[in-house]
Amino acid sequence: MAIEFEQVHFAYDERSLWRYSALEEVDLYLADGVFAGIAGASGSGKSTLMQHFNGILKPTGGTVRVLDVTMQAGDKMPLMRELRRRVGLVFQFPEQQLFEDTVEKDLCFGPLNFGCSLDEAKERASRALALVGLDDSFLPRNPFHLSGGQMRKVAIASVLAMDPDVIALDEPTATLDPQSRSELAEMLSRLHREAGKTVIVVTHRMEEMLPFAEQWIVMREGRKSFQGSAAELAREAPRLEAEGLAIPASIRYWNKATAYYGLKGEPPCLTAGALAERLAQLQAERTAAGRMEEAVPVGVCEEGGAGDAQ
Amino acid sequence: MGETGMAYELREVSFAYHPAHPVLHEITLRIPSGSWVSLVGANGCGKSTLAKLLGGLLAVNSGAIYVEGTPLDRDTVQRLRPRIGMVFQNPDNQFIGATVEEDIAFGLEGRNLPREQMVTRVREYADKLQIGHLLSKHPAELSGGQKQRVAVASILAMEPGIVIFDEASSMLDEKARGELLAILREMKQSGRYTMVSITHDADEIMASDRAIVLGGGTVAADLTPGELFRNEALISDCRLIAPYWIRLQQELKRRGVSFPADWGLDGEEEAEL
Repeated sequence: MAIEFEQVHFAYDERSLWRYSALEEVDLYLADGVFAGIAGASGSGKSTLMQHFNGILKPTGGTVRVLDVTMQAGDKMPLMRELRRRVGLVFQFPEQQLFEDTVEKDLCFGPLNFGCSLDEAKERASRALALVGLDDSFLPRNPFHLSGGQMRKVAIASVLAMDPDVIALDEPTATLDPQSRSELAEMLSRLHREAGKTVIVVTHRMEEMLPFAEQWIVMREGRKSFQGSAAELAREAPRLEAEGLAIPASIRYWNKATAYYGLKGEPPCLTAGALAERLAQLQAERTAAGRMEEAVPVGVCEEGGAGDAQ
Repeated sequence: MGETGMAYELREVSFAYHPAHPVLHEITLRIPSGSWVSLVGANGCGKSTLAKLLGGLLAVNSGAIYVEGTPLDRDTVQRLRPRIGMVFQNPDNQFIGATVEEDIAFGLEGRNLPREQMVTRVREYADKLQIGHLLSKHPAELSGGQKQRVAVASILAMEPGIVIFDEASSMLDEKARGELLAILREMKQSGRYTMVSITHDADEIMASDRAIVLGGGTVAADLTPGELFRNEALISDCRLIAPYWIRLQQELKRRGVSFPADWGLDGEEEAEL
């Protein structure tokens, strides 16, 4: 198990007049090695939730278990150092955290802080860079002279350099151009598939993570309003939409297709290519079935003449 | 409104921040009053630079920009600038007042409007953008979408004829992005504004009248949004992704099938097909 929440509450300024409750009664279970998406409107508690994953925020009620660390409200908190290495958080606009004059120095900063030797840190830097799809030629470059998308990748690599088991990212694709966004989503999926990381992405653009995420959590006003697979999400779309969630086009079209063809219980096709393939198949089946139907009456009333079949 | 009926006319406009790296090279184009143009292109193609030239924040190196028939230069910029409003990516960078009300009033104070008129205008535009209930709030208390609406209200209260949106929706969440788009559509319908939006957002581009594609420092293409999104090579150069339904349509075409005729598409999409 990677992450488990039991009746978690969190309030900012808990003991003051300005107490503001950001999470209420959140139960959550994310298995090891999952690719999960967390969606919801601004202010629904997505980022607050994420900051519990490595103990930046501690629950003011309930219990959070992450890997082998338990944080229970009211109890003395365990040491976070190892947890913080094993659970990497990538905040919004992580490129704003770059500060060194070479990519390599920036990537080595974390590992050195966690006690690696310089050689090992450098090796990790190179490995982390490969994970985000950039080669070693970037190591000596100045991070501030890279494009926006490349800076974002380097910043994510600086978290990966600590070799975390879990990586959680807050709006990793915000403000990138559409193609860089889709490249980044694919890169995260690779990280999940090939490096076996648990990847959790907070996003308000569900569409770009839909082809990859196995689990979805939808937050609403500090509460969890949904958890399940993309297929379950598609089924629950009408309720979630009524609750104010912007439903991505890929789900709307899938639901149209299931309604039109009366499909039941099959895994959703959530990319344009996959849906087109399925629709082509369905239309071919329907045409074939149509021919059958036309053929039957012809067979029954022989005198009608077989020549009319077309 | 200029006698030419053109909000903008650019004649061979060139610009470089550094002579060795020209950004824009001899750009010639016209934007009719009341139209809505999207400026698109890959990062670094000079979109934002062109927006700053159009807004009078930068001056051309050579060529000329006419705003409603008047050349935009050192002598006229002070007179023309009030005609042009600009809304940027991050509304936080645009807030000055301690309350929403003060923020909207700030620009009006700069224009030396009499107090009564200011009060009316603040009220009018706050109501128009549905932020009337937020007037006494501090900008930091607002959601992203509300902030961007305040930014738009502050600009529209100055009653510009031309409004430039520089990636105004790119930091907003899905819902807020939809709200901003609705505002842009309303502005277009009112017929009072010429709009230029710099954007990567497929829905925003689709809603506009025309897409001007910048590439290699010049106008690489000037076409309707529908034409743009059906040109796969061009949108790949601009690093755009077409709306889902257009991609679906293309994928279907590749397989030799089309949408079932009675498939109940969304109104707008149906109109396009």
